[in-house]
Amino acid sequence: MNLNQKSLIDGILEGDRLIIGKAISLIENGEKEGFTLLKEIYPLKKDIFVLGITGPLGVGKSTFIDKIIEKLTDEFDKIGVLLCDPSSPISGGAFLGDRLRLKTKNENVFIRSMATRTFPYGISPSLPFIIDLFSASPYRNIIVETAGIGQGDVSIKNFSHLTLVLFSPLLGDEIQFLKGGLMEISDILIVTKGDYDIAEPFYKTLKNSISIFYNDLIPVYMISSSNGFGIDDVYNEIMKKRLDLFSSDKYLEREKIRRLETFKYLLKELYTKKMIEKIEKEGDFKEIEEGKINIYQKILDIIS
Amino acid sequence: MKKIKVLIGKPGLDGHDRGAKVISKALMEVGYEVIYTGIRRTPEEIVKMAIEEDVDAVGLSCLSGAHLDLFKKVSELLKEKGKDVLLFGGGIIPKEDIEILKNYGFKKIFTPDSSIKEIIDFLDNEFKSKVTN
Repeated sequence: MNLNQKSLIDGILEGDRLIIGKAISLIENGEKEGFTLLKEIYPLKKDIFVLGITGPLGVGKSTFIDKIIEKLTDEFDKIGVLLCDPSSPISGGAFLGDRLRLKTKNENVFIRSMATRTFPYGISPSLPFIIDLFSASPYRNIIVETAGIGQGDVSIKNFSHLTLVLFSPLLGDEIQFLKGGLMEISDILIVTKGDYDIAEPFYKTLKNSISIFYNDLIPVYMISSSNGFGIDDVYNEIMKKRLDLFSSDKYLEREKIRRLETFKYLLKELYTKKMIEKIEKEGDFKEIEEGKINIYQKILDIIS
Repeated sequence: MKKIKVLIGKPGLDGHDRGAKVISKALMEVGYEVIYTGIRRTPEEIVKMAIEEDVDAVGLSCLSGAHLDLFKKVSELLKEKGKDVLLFGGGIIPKEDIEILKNYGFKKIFTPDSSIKEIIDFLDNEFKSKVTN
């Protein structure tokens, strides 16, 4: 198939699975064609809703998505799912093992795995651009799962309209909940693996901490994805918050943040890459390695 | 930078996937991005994944003896949907079936006596011109 620009754009607008799959690759691989495509579809964007799902490794993010997706497909015609997993810092390869948990056979769900390509913060560096791509497609209700993350990995907040933070039991005591970072980006907090006895005391500690330190402003739920406990409650909370978002200024406020952050990512991704390539070409890397260049002088020369 | 993506699939009711996992990990270690489907997937699910993930290769593993039907179905569906991809397979596969599978479009079939290195060499050879780094 000859994928010229026009047929790429048409395919994206129509939700053609094959074409969207290829378009994501163009963007992921940083090819100029990918960004030219984004430029063309930028004016065709429509409102999108991004549900960010984050939390440390193994807490049950994918398994939770497997459950919640059944409910979301009842409500929405098309759902996009983007699943981030870490790349190997040694080889640059990746084992992408999130979608094996997703059992949905629904043809209206488009799922894509994304390696972080050694980008920090638990997201793929192309995530912001791929969200823009989806906003021109029929898949405008999107779930994004981060790779397993740590306390300071808060980037997902900039690209989500609603951020769910998942914890498994025994994750820590209330001192952890006093710290900045992850707690502060939570719109909804979820304690997973609620079918274990150890979950209830942890849930109570977390809920108590939220009551004291956050004035009860963050809803906290305990769930079990294996027996379905609490899934309905979380779903209702998501829908309530989604409605609140769209019926107030909050959606526009979030979109402002997303647009600007996406632009900053573009700069970081493309401009920085270009600068690095240029300096490498000039042969300065070798001299930097050997300590022959004062790197601080070099950077002052570049930015002045 | 172009990364080569490989889908490792387990079609059918076969629940033995230690081999598929080991191969997925090995391919990661040499720089491939591997998507593992998990066990008990239908050919339709595997093809949907291959399309959405825009993979360059699909490797199917089957130890139950149902490889002829399942591999054929995956190959047919990929063609039907217009997904051009390198196909390979492996598992408990009798010698006499290998030619049949090759006729279904499988470039290479690996059997239990194949080494991981053979699988890596096969893919490296197929994709060496496509990788820029």
